[in-house]
Amino acid sequence: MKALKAQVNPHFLFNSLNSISALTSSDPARAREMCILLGDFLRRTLGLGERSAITLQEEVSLIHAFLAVEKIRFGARLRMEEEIAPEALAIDVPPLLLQPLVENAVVHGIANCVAGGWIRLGVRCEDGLLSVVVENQFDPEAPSRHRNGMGLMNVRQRLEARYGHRATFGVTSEGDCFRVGLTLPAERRSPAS
Amino acid sequence: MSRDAASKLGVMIVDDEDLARQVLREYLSAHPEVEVIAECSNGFDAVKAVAETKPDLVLLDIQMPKLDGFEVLELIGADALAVIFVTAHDSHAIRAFEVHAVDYLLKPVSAARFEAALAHAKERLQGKVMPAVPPPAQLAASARPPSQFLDRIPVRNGTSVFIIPVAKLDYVEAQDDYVLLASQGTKHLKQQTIAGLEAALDPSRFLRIHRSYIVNLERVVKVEPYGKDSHVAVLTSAVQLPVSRAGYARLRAFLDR
Repeated sequence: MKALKAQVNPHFLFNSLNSISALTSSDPARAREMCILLGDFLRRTLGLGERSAITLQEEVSLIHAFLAVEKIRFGARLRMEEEIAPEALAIDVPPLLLQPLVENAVVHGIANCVAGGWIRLGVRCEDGLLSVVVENQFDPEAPSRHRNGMGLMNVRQRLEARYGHRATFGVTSEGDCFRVGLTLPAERRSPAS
Repeated sequence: MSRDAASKLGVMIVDDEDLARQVLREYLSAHPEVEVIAECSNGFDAVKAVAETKPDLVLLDIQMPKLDGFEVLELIGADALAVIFVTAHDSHAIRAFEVHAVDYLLKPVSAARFEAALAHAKERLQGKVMPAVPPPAQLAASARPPSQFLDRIPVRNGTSVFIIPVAKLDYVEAQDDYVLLASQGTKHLKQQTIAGLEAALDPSRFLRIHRSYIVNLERVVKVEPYGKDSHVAVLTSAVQLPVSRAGYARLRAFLDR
């Protein structure tokens, strides 16, 4: 539960429950769907938090479960683009390493844009390195949010603790595009686990 | 205005999420004495709509595009209307609401809590209880996490809103209940006390040099004697600001660092 508490943003939970509450009268079937999607995301998060490594495939599924819920909240304001090299999917990553980056993109990007915006997830695998880029549109003049940067800091620290100098992490912003890039050693699960 | 102002309570709903507005609209629909006169999905629109539709009650989300709920409140004032904040989870804001006895609702919003808050808002509008809302800037300040200072100041001119990042604020001049904010050669008037603004600004960047002036320390070029025992601060823009005796001591302490 501690891992879940550390990772699941209470804002996300309470806002999702509020959306479900709205749908119960206007669109009960959609309300039920959202309950199931939210349950799916929470269950995955709980299960993953206990493990030391998961495949990128599992992490991407988690991101999809998360976005499925956010898509109901934000509707057309949330646009997701993905480009993931197929050979990267079997690579081992620490659980919940990338989902917080996407969540950060929703909270500090999409949620602050009146007309919404895009999030791009790009994953490549070359020269023994897994390289991940999460980009999102944001409003440079948006009001600051208190949790700003907490999720990113957590990801950076976990990368450093686990891989030391073998991993990199960088944040840039240019115009209305915010970009987080990271690389880590492309390792595959040992047969024993 | 189309609404029957004498009998109906005009309500405005401000939230960037459609579904969040929908719940509130549904709860309000049980009240024939209430009319939803505007719905807004961001802070700028909210400020504009308040000026245009003059609602009696505003249901105000905190985290929104353009302006957050506290900034909206600062710009619309709480003198002529009642405000109920609506938020998912913000421990600092909630503590501020409790301290200042400001009405708020938590998401997911319960019907019972909503009814209680609406009833209370009506009582306030009818003058049965004193409006509890403190000066908006004070409420915003107490909702800010400790050691976090203002990074921008929203100002309003009619229905349009302008944001001054504090890095672009040159100096502040007090004018009765207002402050004059000088930024890049332009001056903006805002209803706020200079003491209130001083408390919200980072003291390592802004200094009260006079009863009526706060200066951005990065803009100070030099301090010169003026008259017998007073001083003036000369800014990069060549503007000269009076420095009081106490202000001079504070300024020297900073410049000698």
